[in-house]
Amino acid sequence: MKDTTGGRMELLVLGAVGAGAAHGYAVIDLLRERSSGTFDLAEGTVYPVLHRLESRGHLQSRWSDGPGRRRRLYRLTPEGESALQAHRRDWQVFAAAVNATVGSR
Amino acid sequence: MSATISGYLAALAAALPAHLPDRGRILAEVGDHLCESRERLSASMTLSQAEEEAIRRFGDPDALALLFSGLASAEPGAARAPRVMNRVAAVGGVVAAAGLLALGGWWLIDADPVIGRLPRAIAAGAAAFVVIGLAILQATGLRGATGRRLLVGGLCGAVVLLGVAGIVGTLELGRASGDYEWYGAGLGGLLVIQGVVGAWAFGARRRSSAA
Repeated sequence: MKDTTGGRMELLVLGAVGAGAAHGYAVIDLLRERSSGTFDLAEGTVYPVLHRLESRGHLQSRWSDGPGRRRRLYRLTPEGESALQAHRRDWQVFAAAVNATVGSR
Repeated sequence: MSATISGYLAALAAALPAHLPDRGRILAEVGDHLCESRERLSASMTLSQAEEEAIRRFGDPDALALLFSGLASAEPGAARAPRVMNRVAAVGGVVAAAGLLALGGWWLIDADPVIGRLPRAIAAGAAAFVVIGLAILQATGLRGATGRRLLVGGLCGAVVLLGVAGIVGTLELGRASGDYEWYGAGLGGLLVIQGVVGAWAFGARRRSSAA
């Protein structure tokens, strides 16, 4: 399964859940839409990341209990918020360094 | 659920490690995802094409199982421990903790007054809390962040309390008998240090994981 996210899946999934994508399908949709199709992932790859983030305490999940299709709903924990902010800072430093090195014309 | 999706789930189930925690939940989530994907795709293709496409987009079950296996190997040891051992730990922990609490209660009501009743009861209660906490961690792995933080914080606090009770008890015994057994106070001091260092190390690990 090819990773088109440059090894930044955790940042992207945390960001997608933080942006309101509450279940796996919505996370994938949001990544595809916001990246204009660049992050067109093998959809299954998102679930191990969601589970890993939950096992670290960055996400919490529960089954939806309303009418309609059953879904596993995820949300950021306070620890997840902190992790997302830390990942964002790292990414900004990294992106600025790459741009400074290769140019951003 | 269609035969195509059921077949995919069966292949994934066969590829997933048997000891993987949340195995049932993974299969349920994947099944729900594939059904939703089929439903959306079927707006622009036949149902059988939509199923094939949903499965193609989801990815190879063996590769996916490998990703989940990586997750299993990253689980804490407690989560991988055999279920029988978890049950033994839980039952043993509850029995031992109940015994310690009963002993603490008895000491509080009717004990030799040479060593104060309260420090001994506190020691028994703190020891019971430590035993219960360790049994919970062993039996469940306690994956929720808040629950784990509360439990580990409580465990460290209980270890500190145990140490303080040991120091106070030793001093009281020394005052009553004139013979100060300093090794008791030393052991109590070590417990206090262990509790404080444990809490600090847990906090440091969490900060590093958040970063």
